[in-house]
Amino acid sequence: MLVPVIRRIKENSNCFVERVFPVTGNWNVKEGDFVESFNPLGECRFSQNEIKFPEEFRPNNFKNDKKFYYSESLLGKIKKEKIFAPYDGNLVENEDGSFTYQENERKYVLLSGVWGTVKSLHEENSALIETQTKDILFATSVKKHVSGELVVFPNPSDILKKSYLENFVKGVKGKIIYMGDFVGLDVVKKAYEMGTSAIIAGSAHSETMGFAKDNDFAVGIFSGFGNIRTPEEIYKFLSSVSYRYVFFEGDRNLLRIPVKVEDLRGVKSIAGNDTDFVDEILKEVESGTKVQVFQEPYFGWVGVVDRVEESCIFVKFGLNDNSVRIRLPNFFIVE
Amino acid sequence: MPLIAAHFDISGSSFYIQKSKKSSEMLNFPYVYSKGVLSNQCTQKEFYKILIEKILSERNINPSRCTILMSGFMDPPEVDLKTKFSIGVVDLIESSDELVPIYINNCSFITKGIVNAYSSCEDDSKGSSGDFGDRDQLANFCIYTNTIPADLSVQSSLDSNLFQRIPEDYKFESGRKLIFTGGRFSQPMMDRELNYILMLEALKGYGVFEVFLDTYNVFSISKTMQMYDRGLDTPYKDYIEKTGTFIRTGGAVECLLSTGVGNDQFIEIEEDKIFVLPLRLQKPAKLSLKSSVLGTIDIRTTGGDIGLIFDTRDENTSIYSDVKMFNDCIRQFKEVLKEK
Repeated sequence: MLVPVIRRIKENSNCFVERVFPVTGNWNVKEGDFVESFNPLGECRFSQNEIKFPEEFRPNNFKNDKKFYYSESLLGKIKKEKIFAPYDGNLVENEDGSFTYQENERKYVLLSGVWGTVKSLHEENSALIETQTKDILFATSVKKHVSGELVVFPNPSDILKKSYLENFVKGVKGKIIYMGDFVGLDVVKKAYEMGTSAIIAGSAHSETMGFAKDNDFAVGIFSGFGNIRTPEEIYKFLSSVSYRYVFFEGDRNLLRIPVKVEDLRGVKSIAGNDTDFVDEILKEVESGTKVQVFQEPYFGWVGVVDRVEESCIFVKFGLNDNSVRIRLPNFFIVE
Repeated sequence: MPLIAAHFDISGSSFYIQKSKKSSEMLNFPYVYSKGVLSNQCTQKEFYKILIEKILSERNINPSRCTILMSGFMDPPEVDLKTKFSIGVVDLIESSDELVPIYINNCSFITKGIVNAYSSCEDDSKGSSGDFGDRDQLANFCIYTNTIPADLSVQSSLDSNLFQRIPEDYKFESGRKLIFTGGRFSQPMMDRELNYILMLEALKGYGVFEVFLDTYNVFSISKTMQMYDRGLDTPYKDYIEKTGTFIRTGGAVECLLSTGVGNDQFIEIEEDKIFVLPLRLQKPAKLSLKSSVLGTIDIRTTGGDIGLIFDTRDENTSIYSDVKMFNDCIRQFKEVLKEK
């Protein structure tokens, strides 16, 4: 019985990552330089925050097209509510009569995020770095490309997740947060409002993914829809790379995690002899094979094949000695 | 020269491997390339290349010395192999003369003159009713497209969704030979009775139809082979099930069955019923029918693996929405299949 093999974490010994300035900037590196994850590639200046006010907003003491306000000074009112400046910046009147408050330009340092060699610099806009990664496969994800610092929640209970998001993580803006085995719609909505780059989790309800798609918000789930556990090896790996800069590539269903070359299983030698492992994509299932099951009520569970019959297999999940009949094709081999 | 003819659907793939004129084999591989499972290891092109090479190497066939023919829904996938001929399923269906193919998979209903392919799975699951569990289950079938429901109720709910998308005004011409094919029928279903219920629901229009069931995508594979070379021996006759004669009367019907052996059998079926009469004969029997919609007609039939299937429902009644009728159909088909 020939069955495809799922490898949720796959090493990628040769890939390119593009790092892009938000606006044109100045490079600190040149082609051929070796960079590490925390090395700055260059810097630029731009306004990093802005607030668009609704029609009801009435500015305070605003006479021209643009006015500077210090942080915490009165910007204006929305009905009876006073609005104060959250940072130093300029209030600008738009063509349609609405107002936008833009933070003063600040220095932005573009970090490498990866361990690798600068392959090419494209004017003052982007750098292409040759590197290596470990790619974690999403079962499904929103087709969006974002990157940011990875924050791994310690599998908190559902009730605590929103509270973690609001109170315990400093500055969730721009971060990619692993929420646990399951993420609910309320938490995803809150993360979206707070400017989080992406939310990742073991599972979510389909309506949560619907919200993410409708709002073009990066959400990725590892196991599937419902309330399904994150595979143990994924959680362990994510925990080991918490606070690393990672890349959410929704188009390819991947969370790409940069690693040092020595962290790979198959290492390219200096002499250039490629010793990468070649993994088989299709394998025969037999007794003792580890499989992931996609059949209710064991959806997403990982077990070991006890015996194989013509159109089904019997799987043990480690709970007791009984094996469970799983029909072909409701399982994949996992490695 | 050895030959492999493949058909790729959204939930599985089928292969006909002809090693020599005397040695051939039909194979259903119930997996397909899925982004949520394989995109970090290979592309779709690479996956199907590996799959075909693996199938051939297990049979000691050198891929470079093998004729590779491919068809697929809607179009055949791109493969990193030199193929001799590739064609999409719509072209295969449109070129069919003798038989009327009815191609059904989890997101389409295609027959001559009709291509009814639906929107993406995600939209489907978003719009569907039911609790979180139901909606999540449907959504998971879209990620893991190869999987099949483990219980009858979920599969019938999926089939019901399929049925609702079939154009209401479409009717099949009485007297035609119909073949039900596509990914929905090549999946290794747990409850085969549901295949026949779906066939009854998809068969629009009143009349008498000779019906065939294709559980190996043999229609697509054989048609692809014929279009490549009319002289090729196709697996058509060996792998198609002759299901039987479907009689849709639109109201009560009286009939007289003369097999030539023993007494003639008189059958009276009231309206809004499905009645299955197991019948499989070497020599054709005479069947005289009398109904208000069809009038009085005589036909000759040999029956089939299921036999004669009388359907006296009007056009607005669905088996899926009538629990009593649904359970009765399941029971009748189960009994016939048990006898097979």
